[in-house]
Amino acid sequence: MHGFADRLAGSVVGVDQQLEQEFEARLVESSTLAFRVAYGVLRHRQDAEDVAQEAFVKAYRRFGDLRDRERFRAWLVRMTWRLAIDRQRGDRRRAAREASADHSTNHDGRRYEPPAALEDLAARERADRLWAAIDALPDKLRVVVVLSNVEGHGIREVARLLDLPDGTVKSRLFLARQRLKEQLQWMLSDPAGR
Amino acid sequence: MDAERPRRAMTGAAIDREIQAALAVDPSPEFLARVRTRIAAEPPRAATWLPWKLVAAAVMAAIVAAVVVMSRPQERTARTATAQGDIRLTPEVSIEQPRRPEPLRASADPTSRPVEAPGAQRRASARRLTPAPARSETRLVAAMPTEPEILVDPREARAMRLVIRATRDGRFDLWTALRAATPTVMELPPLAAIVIAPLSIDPLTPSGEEGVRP
Repeated sequence: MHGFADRLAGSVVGVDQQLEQEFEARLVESSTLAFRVAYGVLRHRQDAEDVAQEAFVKAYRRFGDLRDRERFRAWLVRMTWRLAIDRQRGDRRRAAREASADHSTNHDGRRYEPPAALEDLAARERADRLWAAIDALPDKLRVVVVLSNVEGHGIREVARLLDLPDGTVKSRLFLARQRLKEQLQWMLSDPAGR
Repeated sequence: MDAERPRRAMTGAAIDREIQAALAVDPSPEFLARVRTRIAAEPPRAATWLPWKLVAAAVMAAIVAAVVVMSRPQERTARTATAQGDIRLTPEVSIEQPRRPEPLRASADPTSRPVEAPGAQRRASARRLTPAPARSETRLVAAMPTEPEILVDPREARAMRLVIRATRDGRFDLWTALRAATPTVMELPPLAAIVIAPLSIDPLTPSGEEGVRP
């Protein structure tokens, strides 16, 4: 009986070690992807790293339950996206609360930042408008836009990551671009931005 | 001031370029190390696959046990019905005729005979031949599946039960009885032993004058 228990414990430890090694490989392979997905929502390096780290911890806890390990990236991307969206919504609510109480914030609820050079201001304005337009998209269009512009993903890769048919991703990407064009139709011309 | 600036339409490619440029940000070099440290601080992961398998096995065992327990009362009911009342044989092949058990039982009580349609007299005479089951059996029969029944003459059933009981008790050897009842083939002598005497034809001797009646 003890021999059986020892063998069982040994096999469990062996399986755990194997899982640890496999997870380490996945972590190295997917860390930048998770970070960029989070960054695409939050646009803040530290926040994006926090969210990506949280997603990896969640993935680690449930890695043993994942049957198809080849789908780890898709699983991680979806988890990171949800966490980032939750974080963004929480931040917006908090910023709105702080804006009403704190006089050090400006009218948009953003933190006060020191004045920068004129070119930087113009580039920031472009980026702000672009991201405001992206943020205005519905989630299902927004995730497609972000993923298709991360790590050179094509439609097929995005479809695999989101577990959607290629045609659905294609139509959503088309719709998202149309809406962005409408929003940014007369964006200010800026040679630095080209 | 914005209106004085030259404007241009934003193309899809330009939008993609802008987004790609905005997303071309790498995590800090410490990011991976921080994640590893955070994961190392996690409590050791219980081998989740093992409880899952155990739970699955336990659920399967419970289902099998439930099926066995649920199937037993039906067997007991059928056995009790067979022991208490007439022997009912359920045929393997389903019979198209619909079963009408209620009028059969109603015939036992002459005061509560249901109104019969014309032409049902023949069926009524057949009904009177079958005795009504006892009250307890009625309940058991109602629990049984509603398939057409084959009713056996109670005398034959009683005789059959006696034979079965005697065979079980060892008072009656069914095999011997069956063998005794089987007709045996008549034993014939071997062909070689059969002697056929040669045919001999004795000549007829005229008893008197030919053509003269005695």
